[in-house]
Order: sequence, then structure tokens, then C-alpha cells
Amino acid sequence: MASTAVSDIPRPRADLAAAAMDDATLIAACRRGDARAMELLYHQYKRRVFGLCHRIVGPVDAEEVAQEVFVRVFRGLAGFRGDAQLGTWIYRLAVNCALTQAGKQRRRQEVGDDHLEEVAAPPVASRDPRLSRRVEAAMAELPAGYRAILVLHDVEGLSHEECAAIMDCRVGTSKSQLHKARMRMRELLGPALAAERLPGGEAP
Amino acid sequence: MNCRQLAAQVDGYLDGDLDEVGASACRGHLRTCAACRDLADQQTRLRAALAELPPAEPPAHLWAAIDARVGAAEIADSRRGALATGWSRLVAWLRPVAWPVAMVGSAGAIALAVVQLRDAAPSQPLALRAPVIAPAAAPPVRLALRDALDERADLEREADGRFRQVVSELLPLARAEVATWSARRAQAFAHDLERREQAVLVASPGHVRERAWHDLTSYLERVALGEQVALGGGR
Amino acid sequence: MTARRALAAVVSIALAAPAGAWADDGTDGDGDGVVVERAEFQAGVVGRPVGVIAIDNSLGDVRIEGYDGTTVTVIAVKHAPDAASLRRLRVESLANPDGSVRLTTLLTDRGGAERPAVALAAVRVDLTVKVPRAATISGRVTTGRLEVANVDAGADLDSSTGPIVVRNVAGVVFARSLAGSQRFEEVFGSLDSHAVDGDLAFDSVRGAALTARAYAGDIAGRGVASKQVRLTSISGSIDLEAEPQAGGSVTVTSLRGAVDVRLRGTVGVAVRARAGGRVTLAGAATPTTADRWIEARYGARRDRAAVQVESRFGDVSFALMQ
Repeated sequence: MASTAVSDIPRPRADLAAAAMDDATLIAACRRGDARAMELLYHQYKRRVFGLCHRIVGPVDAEEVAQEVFVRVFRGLAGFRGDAQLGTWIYRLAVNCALTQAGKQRRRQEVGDDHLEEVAAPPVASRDPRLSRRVEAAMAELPAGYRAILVLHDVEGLSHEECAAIMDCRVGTSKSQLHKARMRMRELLGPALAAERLPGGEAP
Repeated sequence: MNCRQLAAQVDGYLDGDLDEVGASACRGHLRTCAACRDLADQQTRLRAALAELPPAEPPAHLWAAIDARVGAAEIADSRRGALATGWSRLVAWLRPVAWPVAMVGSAGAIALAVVQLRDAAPSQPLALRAPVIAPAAAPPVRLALRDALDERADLEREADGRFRQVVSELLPLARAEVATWSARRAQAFAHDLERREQAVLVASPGHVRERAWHDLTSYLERVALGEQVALGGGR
Repeated sequence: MTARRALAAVVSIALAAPAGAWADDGTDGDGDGVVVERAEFQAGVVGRPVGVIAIDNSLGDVRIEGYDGTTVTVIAVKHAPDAASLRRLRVESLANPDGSVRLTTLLTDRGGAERPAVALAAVRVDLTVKVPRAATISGRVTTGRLEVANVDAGADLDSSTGPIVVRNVAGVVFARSLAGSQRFEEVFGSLDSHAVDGDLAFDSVRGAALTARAYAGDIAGRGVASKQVRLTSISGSIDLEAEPQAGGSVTVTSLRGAVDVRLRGTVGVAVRARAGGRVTLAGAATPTTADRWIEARYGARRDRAAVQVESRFGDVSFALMQ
């Protein structure tokens, strides 16, 4: 995959030699203020953290929220008790930060339960060839919490167990939230999803 | 199985969560019902579209920004040296997530103004004595009808103005008191004061900034009234 | 409803569909119509105790009342001159899985005819929030009234120009205001209050510490029985009636304001006083100067409370009451 492109840019390879560190070693090194360990931890989690932020709060605020997440991670490592996986803990911070920010955003397009009814069928530019762009637009219309579970499970591909640990809820709740989020997405995308079938043919 | 049941189960079916009997029932219904096949098709397509969303790449400069913020926070810690109490944690939780990074630039100009205010020594050229939160930064006047948001911004400016006035009244009093202190304590005072002024400068308007103003003014009140203040930290 | 409750388990909900919009609809043409919308909804994560509830309303009053239940109930009443302006008023509720709940009101940007410009005085949102007693309160208003009653785990309160009123609250309480007055009745716990121009009033306050500072506002205390009491003002007057505690302290200092302290109770006190103006100690005028302390001791020797009363430029009076 092309996913190594960015991380490869100017980074000395020597740093990556430390990649074998397990979480406990990494945490211990970060707590000691080891700059390389901190950077390594950042690179390990940056893509998913940034992805979560980006999808939940949108492109404008994503960078700032991602910064906040990592600042909290490094500032909070001392108090990290290890009762959750490091990754789970970091993603939980990310989701919480992003949801908090999403709650604060004064979007020009206000999104809320009462409003969603009115925009159930967004003006879909039917000539838009890119389904993914429509999917992004529809996601932006979702309440932030739906967006969060949809991103964790369907975009990032985490299991319901992982989602539940991150959202700090039961597995059943995670499932039912996801179900509702998908149904809402289908309502929002309805015409787009259907239209895609005609010319495109095969489902992926 | 009817359509309603299928709609409830389709997620589990597509995610492979159903047992063989349940899955078979779903398949059976889908064979016979075009509408539900549509539903399942759309859900499949949605899942694929979500899974294939192009990854959002973190910008290359993100690490540098994080590193700088962690560093700044640690330097602040070293000066403060205080344990996080339950309340300070609460306050931290309440703090808006979005730090006014963009403000840092404009704060630079304002910072000078605060220093001017603090050191309102006669030798300073008057032209430099701008108000703390300079209205120079105010947006251009719009001709449109005034709106509640504009009025609220006015109220915030008024509040800043009143706090600024209070600070300018308290400073000479506090300085007179500090003049009787040892050089070391006086230096610590200057440092504490600066830290509190910085907090005002970086705070976003509204309650966060008012809080920072309260912290600054009550600190000056304590010093002015000759209280023992914990230097180099403490509230 | 169950869908909404489940949703609350993870997320933010915008104000629930209005329970009922009733109004003059503002279409009567004379421009003074008022549209009112009232909505009631529950906030919080189902099955999780509410830890911190943070309410930020810069558009009107906030009234927070503790009760013996477990859910947070919010009644939001919006006022606007017309339906289009009403659409600019939003109430957002965010429930975090950690049990914290945040309520925020906001005035959205203008948006043409759909959301026209409106005068600040013409719109308001008032929130009445019933919370579990054990919740820790954080409340913020700007010009509205902030009222907190019957909670047990403290409060952190901010106001710009609106009054803060606290009644029957236990735990640690912080309050700050610029011009808003602050009134506290029956507070059991440490209390820290700061105002610039607002007046501060305390009635029946008992805790480890009471710290109150006003810049230009006056401070008045009745039935103050906290162990460490410190009241300060720059130009406002201070009037305190307190019951000193064994081994405790009462420190009252003003720069320019008059200071009047009356103590009652059985604990012995060691008093020192000084003033730029007149000093009256236990009914007798006593000559002094601003840089000289007058000291006196009253009552039992054991566990005396340390009392200090001072006004740099004003008068000071101290008395013991039977």
C-alpha cells in the first residue's frame, strides 16, 4: 500500500530500529522523556488518531484536535494505569477530544436530531462520480456520536469489542449504535447508493 | 422471515455475526424479496465505500507542533511545580479542546502591550502604551445591521476594558508593596505576574479569559494588601 | 425515546424536537411579537452516575437544582422575536461515557432571511436543570442569573455581569464574577469567591475556609463559621458577623473601605487591628496609625482564634457580641 509514503519522508532509519519496542517499554521510555520514544509512539498512532479526528470533526479542526490528543497522551502517560491497551486508551482520548470539539463546533450547517429530518435527502450532485465524496458529505450530516462509531468500525475496521472499549460502552450498545448510524447513512445516501449500481455494475 | 425482521438482522448477516440458521433464513428471504435485496446491496455498498475512504494523512508538521506544545506545558509545570488537584483537573477538562494556536501570532503584538502596561514607567514612549487587548485587532466595521453576536463581542471588549482598568489601578499598589521585598522575591513576583498575563493573552474571549483576568487581579489584590503570596506558583 | 436514550450513551444530542412551540408567531406585524419554545429532555449516559455537569449559557439564566434522583432533566425555554430568529438559538447537550454532561447554549451565525440579524436583548434561553445531588456543578452565565441549590459535591461558577445565587450547597465552591453580585446561603464546605465590582453576601457559611475578595464591591457576612476566614477588598466596605472557630483565624483587610467585624461565640480571640482612619476596639475608640498594630486578647486562652482587622486608609471597628 502507499500508506508508508508520509512516514518515510525525512525520518532517519535508525529511529525505526526501535520499532520492536513493546508497549510497556515504549511507555516507560516516554515517561522518562525519551524524545525518540515519544516520536515513535506518535508515528505508531498518528494515522489512526488523525483519521478519527478528521472524520469526526472535519478537515478544518482535525489538526488542532489531533494535537490536543497527543498532548494529552504524553501528558497523561504518567497516569496511564495499563488497565486498557495503549491503543484503546489513545483512541478513547481521540474520540473524546473529537466529540467534545464536535459538540462545540458552530457549524454553519447545524446538525442535530431536529435538523436531520429536514436534510434527510441531501442535494446529491448526481453527476458526482465519486461515491466516497458523497459518503464523506453524508457523514458530515450525522450526529457526531454516530460518526464516531461508524469511523471506528466501518472505516478503521475495528471490532465491536474494540469499539466498545474505546467508547466505554457495552458491545451491544456499540452494535445498536452502528446499526442506527448505517441506517441513517443509507437514508442520507439513498439515491447515491442506488444510482451507483446502474452504471457501475458490480458491487465491490 | 419478513422484511421488517430482515431489516433488523441485515447488519448481523452482512457482518457474519449470525449463526448458520439465522444466516440461512436471511439468504432465503433475500432470494425472494427484491426490496430487501436492494437494502442489502446498498448496505454492502455503503460498507465498501466506508472501508475504502481515502485515508486522511496527518500533515508533516504535526509532530513538531505536538512536540512544541508538550515542551511548553512541561516548562510551565517546572515553574508551577503544583500537583494537579481535583479541581484543576476539572478545570482542565472544562478547557476548550481547541487551543488558540492561531492566536499566538496576534498575541505577540498584544504581549508587548501588556508589558508596556506593567512597566508604565515615564521613560517609555507613550506611543507604545497600547491597551492590553488592543482594539486595533477589531474587525473592520460592517455596515450591516448590528447583530447580537456583535453586541456580545462588545460586551466582551467592555469586560476586558474594565479588567484592564482594574489591573492598571492595582499595579502601582502591588509594585509599592513589592518594592519592600528582597530582590529574589521581587523577581519571582515579576515572573508570576508575567505568567498570569500570558494566560490572559492566550485565553479565548468570554469566560476563559475572564477567569484568567480574575486570577491576575486577585493575585495583584493579594500582593497589594501585603498578603503572603506563594511565589513561583500557587493559586 | 429509547432510541434517544441509547444515543445519549455515546453522544451529543442537539436540542430534542421542541415539546411544543407556541407563540404569537411574530407575524402580527407590529414587531413586538415574541416566539417562545419550550423543550424538556434528559441528558446523561444511561446507567452511569453523573459526575460533573457543566452548563454554559451565555444567553440567559441558569437554575440548577439538586434532587434525589439519578437523571439530569433539562428544561430549556427559548425566546425570540420571530421564528426565524428562534432558529439561531441552540441548546447542545454532550454526555461523555465518563459520566460528565455538558450543556451549552449558542447563538449561531446570521444566515440571510433564514436566520436574520437580531438584537441581543431580544433573544434569550433560560435553562432549568435538575441534577442528582451528588453531581459536581460547573455553571457559567454572562448577563443572566446563575442559581444553584441543594447539591452536595461542590460547584464552580462564573458570571460576567449576572448575579450568582447559591443556596444549601455542600462541597467546595468557587465563584467568580466581574460585575455580578454573589449571594451564598447555607454553604457547608470551602468557599472561594472573587468579584470585581459585584457585592458579595454570605449567610450561614461553615467550612474549612471562606475566602472572599472584592475589588470595588462590598462584602457582607452573617453567621460565618468557617475555620479560616479571609475577606479582602480594595475600595469596598466589609461588614462581618462571624463565629470564630477554636484554633481558626479571621482576617479582614481593606485598602480604602471601612471594616466592621463583630464576633460571637465561646472561643477566645487574639485580635490585632490597624487603620489609616479610626480604630474602634470593643466599643472604645483607640488611637492608632496606619503602620502600628493594636493588639488585644479576649476570652479563654486555649485554642484562641487569630483575628486581624485592617483598613489601610479607612476606619476599622471590632466588637464582641454576647
